[in-house]
Amino acid sequence: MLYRGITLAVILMLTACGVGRSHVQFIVVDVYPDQDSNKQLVMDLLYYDRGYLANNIPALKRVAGNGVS
Amino acid sequence: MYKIEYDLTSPAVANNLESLTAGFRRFIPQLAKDHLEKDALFSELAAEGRVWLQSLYTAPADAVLSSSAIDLREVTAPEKMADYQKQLAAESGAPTVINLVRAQYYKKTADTPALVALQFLQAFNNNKNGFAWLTFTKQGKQWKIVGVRTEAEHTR
Repeated sequence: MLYRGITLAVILMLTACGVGRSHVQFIVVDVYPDQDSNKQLVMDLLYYDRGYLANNIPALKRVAGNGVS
Repeated sequence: MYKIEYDLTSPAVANNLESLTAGFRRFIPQLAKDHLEKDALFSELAAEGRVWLQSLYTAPADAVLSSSAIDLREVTAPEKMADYQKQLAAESGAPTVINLVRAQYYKKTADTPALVALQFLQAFNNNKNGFAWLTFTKQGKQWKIVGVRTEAEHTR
């Protein structure tokens, strides 16, 4: 497999934007050497069911997913 | 880059912002790892899924159901499956190409067993495309189809 032997390196970055009405968080997924593959992986992750995310992120369950996109 | 936007006008979000961001920071890398580890499984089940989707157009309802998970057989009468197959055949006929679009692996939780969800893009002879979704669950040591959903096709 392509990803075998490649260290799963995920760099985290937190950025704020807007004027206090919203907060944006970026999580950089940097697993593959080429950015297209990383972009594809992020797309795959974005399609996971929100209920599953909520089951694994207790705070998301607490806010019932509202206001988080 | 995985992007999450929090609406701070929601008091619940504003009050939980720190734990929300920490939760995503912890879980998304874990999700990426779990997803990548299932790459081989996704390929294997995509091949099985293609055969199963083709069988919807070529095999009798009993045969389709007997190759599926017990849970699907329990809720789907052969007549119901036959009706579904007739409807598909009337709409488009068998797909000429079935390509995997994306896959998800859901770990077992207190309420649900482990699941694999696959999305396919099907191309038909009538110059149309349509998506199909299959869900697999583990039955003993084998992954079996427990759910199918097909979308009305659209012109290419």
